[in-house]
Amino acid sequence: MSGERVANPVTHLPGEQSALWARLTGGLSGRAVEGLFLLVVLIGFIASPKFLTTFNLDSLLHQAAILGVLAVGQYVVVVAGGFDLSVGAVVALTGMVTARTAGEIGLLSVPLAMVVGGVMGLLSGLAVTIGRIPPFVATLAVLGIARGLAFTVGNQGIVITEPAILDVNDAALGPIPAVALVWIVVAGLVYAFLHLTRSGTYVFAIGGNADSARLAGVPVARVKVGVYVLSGCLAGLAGTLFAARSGSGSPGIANGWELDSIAAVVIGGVSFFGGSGRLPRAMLGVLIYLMLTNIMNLVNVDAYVQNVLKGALILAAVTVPLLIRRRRPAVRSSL
Amino acid sequence: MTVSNDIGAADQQVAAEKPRTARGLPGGTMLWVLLVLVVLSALLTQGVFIRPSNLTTVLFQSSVIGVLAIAQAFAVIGRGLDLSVGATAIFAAMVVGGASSTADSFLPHLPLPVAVLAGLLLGLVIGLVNGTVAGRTRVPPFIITLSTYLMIVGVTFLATGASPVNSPHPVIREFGEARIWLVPAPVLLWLACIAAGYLLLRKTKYGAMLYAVGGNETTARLSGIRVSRVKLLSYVAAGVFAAVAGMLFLVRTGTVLPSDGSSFMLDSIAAVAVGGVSLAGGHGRIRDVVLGVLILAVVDNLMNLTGVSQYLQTAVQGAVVLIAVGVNLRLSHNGNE
Repeated sequence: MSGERVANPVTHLPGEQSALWARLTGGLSGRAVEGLFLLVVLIGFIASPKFLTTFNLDSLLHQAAILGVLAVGQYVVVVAGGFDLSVGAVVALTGMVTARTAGEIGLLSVPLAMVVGGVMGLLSGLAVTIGRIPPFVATLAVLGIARGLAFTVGNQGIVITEPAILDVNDAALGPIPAVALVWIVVAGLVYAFLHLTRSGTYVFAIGGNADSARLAGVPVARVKVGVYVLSGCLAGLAGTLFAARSGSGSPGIANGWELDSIAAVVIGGVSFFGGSGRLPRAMLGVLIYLMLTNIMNLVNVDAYVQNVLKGALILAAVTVPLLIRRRRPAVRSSL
Repeated sequence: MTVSNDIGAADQQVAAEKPRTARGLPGGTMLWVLLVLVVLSALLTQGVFIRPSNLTTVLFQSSVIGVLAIAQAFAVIGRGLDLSVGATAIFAAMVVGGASSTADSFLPHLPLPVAVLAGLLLGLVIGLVNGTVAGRTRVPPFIITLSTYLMIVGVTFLATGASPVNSPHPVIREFGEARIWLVPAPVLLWLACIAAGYLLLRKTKYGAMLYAVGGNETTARLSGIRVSRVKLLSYVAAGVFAAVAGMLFLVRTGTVLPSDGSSFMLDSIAAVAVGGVSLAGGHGRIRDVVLGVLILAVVDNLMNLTGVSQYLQTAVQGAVVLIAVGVNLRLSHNGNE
């Protein structure tokens, strides 16, 4: 190890010590998510003949579309250095809004749900920026507000009879359900926004180091509010997709989905410290997470054992890459 | 160890000076918020709120969250977070209740003291697991404790076969009904936990080191503090306090289901944050934690007494958390986020 590297630890990246080590770990950790995805598909193929049937894959895609749209929003917030605990409750609230209004305004209830979700996101964003409240507490409080409002809209489930909404779930383009296309389009648009626009670059900048970004002239507060609004809007969209799928709105649903979406994003290799992580991999994380649940259901793994295995998976997904990249210079840990 | 002894003493001084109460209102913002809330509640309920019977009910009901919030504070002050405290509490409650139960349960019958020890040991082991991973890797505490939370819930359901624990030991029931000068015994146990938390944080070298680690880990490490061990101990403390909270829950309800306490995790964090403990670590006193618990409990009780719908209460609680944390950050000119 040369003295120069010690003097300038920022350039001391993992694997500089040996090209072979770099190729091994770089190659491994660089493709770990894709590898895990293929591994899970293989496990599913071996474990159950039902896994690769059209019926099962169709149902998987429907689930993935809803969690996927949610995870796109969560991904953007995590990249910006925060996280959004309110998304599950917002799904319940906007599902109720959809169910309540679908009869009168038909498909217009979808943008309405997105606006309601966006308002919830705006609340989180303002609390985080103007209120300077940590994202955890701010979005936790908004979780409570959204959940309470969902029950205020109606303390019981509302059945949707409007065919326009129900068709959203049933429509398909060839073998691909329309909701999956919605997910792909949403992910594509957000990906393009993040990588082709200046604001998108700002999201990565403030997640990497908010102070540096501020000094470089990035409007940190505005970008932060923006990512929470985006996450809220997408949670609203996911809420209508779920309402369409279940044919009803229900105020108590989607408990813990915020944790599912965070888990999916983290399994997809997105750094919880913010500033890095790729959207396509986060989407693979969604599929990995759902496929594992699906496989465990197919082979009749006890629901409680599933809980234990999920916990272990999340921990492993974060710990293993960190252990491989141990030589990276220390980053200040955050919540 | 002499080096770290000296540093520990120095840090203890720094930690002792830390509560700059004069920054905002005298006695701290949250104390005034609580007082205003109490007066407001008394007026709005025409005095029903300040009847001794109602006040003891409020205290009795907040004792579980009160102890859980102390557990959470240990993790948070060290710049950590423990999402598993609620699950730990319920698992411990089921172990203590099951092992000392007069009815059949998932555990063999044990004498009460042994059952209580088993519950505490459970909290300790969970804390050891959380703390070891938190101390030795850079995995964010959110992820570590989210995983252990999922695992504990799974194991609790598996171990108990999803059936409730009923008819706990008669002593447990008597403890719940006991009153000393009108004060329920569980509230006294909460007070004992407050005292224990205060002493651990303020009067031990370990407490001073925890503030140092939470404030700036790198500085703490360079000062000779064994950061990984301090973190380990903070999660162990969180686990043990969580187990005590679980026992209080058993005392209060007499029946425990594996699905109970689903709101504990978030409630404990909300209480800590409302009290003014910075989630960025390195700050916060046990007093703040108690104030946070009481503020939320008073708001809750006020809404119950005035007949606010159960559903709207959740929304109002959320708004209270936002306002309280925001106001506190403003008035105390606390620069950290």
